[in-house]
Amino acid sequence: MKVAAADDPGQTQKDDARRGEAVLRCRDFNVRYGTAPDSVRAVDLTVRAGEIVGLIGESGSGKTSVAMACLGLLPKQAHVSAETFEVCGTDLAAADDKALTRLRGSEVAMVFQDAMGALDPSMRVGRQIGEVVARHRGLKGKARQNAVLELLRRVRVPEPEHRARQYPHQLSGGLRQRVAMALALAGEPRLLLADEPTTALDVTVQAEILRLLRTVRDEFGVGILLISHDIGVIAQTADRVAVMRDGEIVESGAVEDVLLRPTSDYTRMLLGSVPKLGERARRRPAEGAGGGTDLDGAPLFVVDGLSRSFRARGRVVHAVRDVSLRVGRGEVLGVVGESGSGKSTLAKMLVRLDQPSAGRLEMNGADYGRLRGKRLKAFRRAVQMVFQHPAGSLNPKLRVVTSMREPLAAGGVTGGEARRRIDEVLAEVGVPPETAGRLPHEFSGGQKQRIAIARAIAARPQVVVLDEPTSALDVSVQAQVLDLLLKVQQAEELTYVFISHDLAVVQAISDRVMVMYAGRVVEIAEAEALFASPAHWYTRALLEAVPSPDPRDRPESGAASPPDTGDRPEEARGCVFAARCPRAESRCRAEAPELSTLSAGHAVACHFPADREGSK
Amino acid sequence: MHATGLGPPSHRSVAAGLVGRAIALPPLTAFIARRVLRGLAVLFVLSIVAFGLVRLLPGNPADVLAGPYSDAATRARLAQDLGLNRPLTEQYLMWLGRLLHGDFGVSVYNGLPVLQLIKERLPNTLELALAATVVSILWGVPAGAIAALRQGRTFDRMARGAAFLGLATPVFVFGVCLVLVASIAVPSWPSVGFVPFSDHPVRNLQSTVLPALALGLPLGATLCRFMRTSMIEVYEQDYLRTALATGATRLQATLRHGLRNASGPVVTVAGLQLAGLVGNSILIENVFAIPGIGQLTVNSLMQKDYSVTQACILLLGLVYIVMNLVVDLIHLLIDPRVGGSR
Ligand code: SF4
Repeated sequence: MKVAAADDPGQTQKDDARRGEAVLRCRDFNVRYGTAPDSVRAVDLTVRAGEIVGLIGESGSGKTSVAMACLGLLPKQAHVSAETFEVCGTDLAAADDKALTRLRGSEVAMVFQDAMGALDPSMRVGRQIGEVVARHRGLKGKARQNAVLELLRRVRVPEPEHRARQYPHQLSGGLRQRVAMALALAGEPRLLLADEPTTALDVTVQAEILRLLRTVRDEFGVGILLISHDIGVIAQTADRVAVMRDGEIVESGAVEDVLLRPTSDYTRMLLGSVPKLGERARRRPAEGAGGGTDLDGAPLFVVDGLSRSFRARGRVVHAVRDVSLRVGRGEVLGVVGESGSGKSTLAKMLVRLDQPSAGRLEMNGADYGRLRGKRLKAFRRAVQMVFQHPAGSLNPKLRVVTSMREPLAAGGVTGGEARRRIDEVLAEVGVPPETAGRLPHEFSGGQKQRIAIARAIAARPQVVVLDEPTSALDVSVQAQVLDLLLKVQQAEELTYVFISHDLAVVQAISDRVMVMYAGRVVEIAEAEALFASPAHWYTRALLEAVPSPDPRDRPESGAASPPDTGDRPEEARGCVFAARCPRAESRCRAEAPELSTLSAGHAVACHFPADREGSK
Repeated sequence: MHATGLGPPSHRSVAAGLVGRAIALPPLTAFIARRVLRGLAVLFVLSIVAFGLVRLLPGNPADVLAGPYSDAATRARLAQDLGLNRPLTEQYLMWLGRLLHGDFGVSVYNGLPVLQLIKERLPNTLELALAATVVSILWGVPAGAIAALRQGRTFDRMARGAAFLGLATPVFVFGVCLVLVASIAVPSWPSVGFVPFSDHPVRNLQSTVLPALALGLPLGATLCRFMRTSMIEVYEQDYLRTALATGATRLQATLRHGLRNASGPVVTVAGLQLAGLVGNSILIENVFAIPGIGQLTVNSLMQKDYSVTQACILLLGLVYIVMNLVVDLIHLLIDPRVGGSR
C-alpha cells in the first residue's frame, strides 16, 4: 500500500503549519461485521481542519463504514480495531456511549445523501436546526432563533426567515441539502462527514452544493471527509484523495497526483470508465446511411403537440407541455433534463404506460394513442422499456427464465423455441444462459440490468425506451452496460429513446439529443452539435455544471449565482428559464420563445441563443 | 434522480398560486366538504343495502307479531297494515322519505320510536367503546414504543408475548376470565350488571371498568404490534440517524422525532378499532349484560323488527364514516405532507 504523502511523519510537521490540526486520524483501522472477514482493512486516513479529503470508491468498498465509525454509529455487530482512531483528539476506540454522544454534533457531524430522508418530515426545518443549536450551544429563545437564521444565511439559503418556517417537503432538493448542511454545522463541529451529499441532486444543483462545501471549509474552518463514487465530484472539490476498494485504500495523495498520475491499476481503471464530456464514444457503423437524422425515409415515431397535466391538490401541474418530435428508425435519441423536467413522463407516454392529455402519438404511421385489444398487444411487443432499477421489469420472486418467457409468450413464442431465444439473448448480454434458472437476487446489480435488457429485447421489439438505465450502477459497470447497449442496438437494429440526467452518458450513446426544462423541449440537435455549441442557456448551464474528472478544470471561485430554489414557472408568459438565465432580457419575460431551427437539425427555444463560438 | 414527472412540491409561480387560491376553497374546508359528501354517498348506498338485507332474511314482522299459532288471514292482514305487500321500491322510498325528515319509524315489537331505542342504548355502547379504546392506547402505544426502543431485549420479548396472547384469546373468553378473577380478588366489585350513567355515575364507572378492560386489553395488542413495527421503521429512517449524528441520545431522538412520525398507522388502527368496537360490542355486551347497540341490533334482527335493524345498520355505517374522518383530520395534524399545506 502506498502511504499518502501527507501521512509521512516528516511531512506532517510542515502540513500542520499550513493546514489545521488533524481532526480525524486513523492508522491501521479495521471494521469487521460479525464473523465475516474484515470489510474495512488497514486504513490510514487523516483529515485536517480546513481541508477536504475525498474518499472515492464503488458500492461495497467500505467507505460508508468508515464514516459511520467516525460517528460511533456502526451497527452493534460491527467490531472496530485500530492502532490509532482519533476524532478531534478523542480516542474513539476507547470512548463510551456518553463520550460518543457528547462528540456527535459538537465535534463531528454528518451530511447524508438523501436530504429528504435526513430531515424530520413533520417538523419545520428551523426548529430542527434550533434543536441542535440548543443542545450544543445552550441558546434559548431569540438567541437561538438568530443563530438558526445566521446558519441558514451562511449556507446561502435565500429568505431564511421564510424558509425556516417551512417543512422539508416544501423545499427543493438543493435547499434541503443546504438545510441538512446547516443542521450538521449547528453544533460547530470540526469534522464534517459528507456521504454522497450530491448524488441525489440534479447536476446544476450539485455544482452549487460542491461550491458550498468549499465555502464551508473556508468559512467554518472544518475538515471535510467527502465520500463519493463520482470522480468528477471529488476532482472538483477535494484537496486530497484516497481511493478505496474492497475495504482497503489502494492509493492516496494530493488530488492532482492521484487523478492525473494514478499509480494503481484500479484508479486507472476507474478513471478510464468515466464517460467524459467532449469525448465522443459513439461509433456509427454505417456512416453513409445518413447518420441519425430522421430526414431520410419515414420516421418511426412521430409525436405531435404532446402534453400531460395532472391535478395535484386542486392545482394543475403541467408535466409535459407541447412536445413534438420525430425519431428515425435505428436512431438513438437522448433525452436530458433535471428531475421534474418531464422526461420520465414523456417516456411513459411513448410506451403508453401513461395517456397524454393532448397531442398525437404515431408509430409507423399509425396513431397508437387509440389502439385497443390485439393491435395494442402488438404495439406493446414492439415497444419495450428498461427502468433504472431492474425491479421494474424483473419480478424478484420469479426465476429469470420465467420472467423472460413472458414477453415471448405474448408474441406466441413458447416452449423450446422460447428457451432457444432466451439462451441467445442472455449470451448476447453476457449472462451465462445456464444461470437462467436462478432468482434475480442471486445476480449483481450490473447483471440484473443486463438481464432486464435481455428481457426487453427478447421478443425482437423495434423500439426500446430506456429510463436512466445506468444511473444505479457503479461507474465501471456503467461503462460495460453502455457498451452492451450500443452493441445490442446495432445487432438487433433497434431504435432507442435514452433518458438520463447524466450528460456524459447521453453523449456517449446518442445520435441526437433533446434537452427538456420544465416540461418543454428547449433544444434539440445532433449530439455532436449540441455538445460542441450548445445554443440554449439552460443547456449551457447543464454542460458547465458537469464536474470534470480533471482537477485542473476546477472553476476559480467565481461569483456564486443565487441557489436554485426549485421554483419552475407554471403559467409564466415568457421563457421558462428566464429566472435563472444570465442572458435574460425584458422580451424573455414577456414572450415565450418558440422552438425554431438554428441550422439543419438544430432547433432551440430561445430569443437570444448563445452563439456558436460559445462566448457569452 | 428518478423523476416522477411531477415537479418538486414548490413547482409553481407566485402568480399561479394566488390565482389558484382565489378560486379554490381553503384546503381544509374543501377537504372536509369532500369527505362529508363522500360519506353521504356511502350512507345512501348503505341504506339500500340495509333495506335489501333485512328483507332477504326468511320471515317478516307480520309472522313474528302474529305468533307461531296464527292463521294465514291474520298474517296477511297484519302484512297489509304494515305495508309489507307494496312494491319494494315504494316501501324503500317511503322509508327513505321519512328518514330524511328525521323519522326512523317505530319498533313493531314494542311500539317505541326507533330513535328513542337508539338514544337509550347508544351512550352505553359509546362509553364502553371509548373506555376500551383508552385502555388499549394506554398500554398498547407505550408498550409498542418501548419494545421498539429495546428491540430484542427482555421487555420487547415480554411485550410481544403479551400482544400475541391478546390477539389469540377470544374476547368473551377473556371477559369471563376477568369477571372470575375480579370476583375472587375484589368480591365487592360490581362485576356483572350494568348501571346507566344517569342513574348512578360512580356505579356506572365502576361497572364499566371490567368490560373496558376485557375489550381494551386485547385490542391494545394490535396497537402494540403496530406501534412497535412503525417505530422500528422510523428507527431505520435517516432523520433518526441525523438526530443521533447531531448528538441526541436514543431516547431524545425517539421523543422528538420518533413518536410523532411513527404514530400515523397507529392512529388509523385505533380509529377503526373504535368504530369496530361499536359494531362488535355484542359479544361483550352479552357477557356483562349491558343494554347497548349490539344487543339492540341482534334482538331486532331476531324479531324481524325491520325499522330498528335498518336504523342500527345505518348507525354503524355512520360511526365508521365519522371515525374515518376523525382519523384523517388527526393525520392532517401530525403529518404536514398530508393535505395541501401551502
Ligand atoms: S429566451 Fe431569454 S431567458 Fe430564455 S433562455 Fe433565451 S435568453 Fe435566456
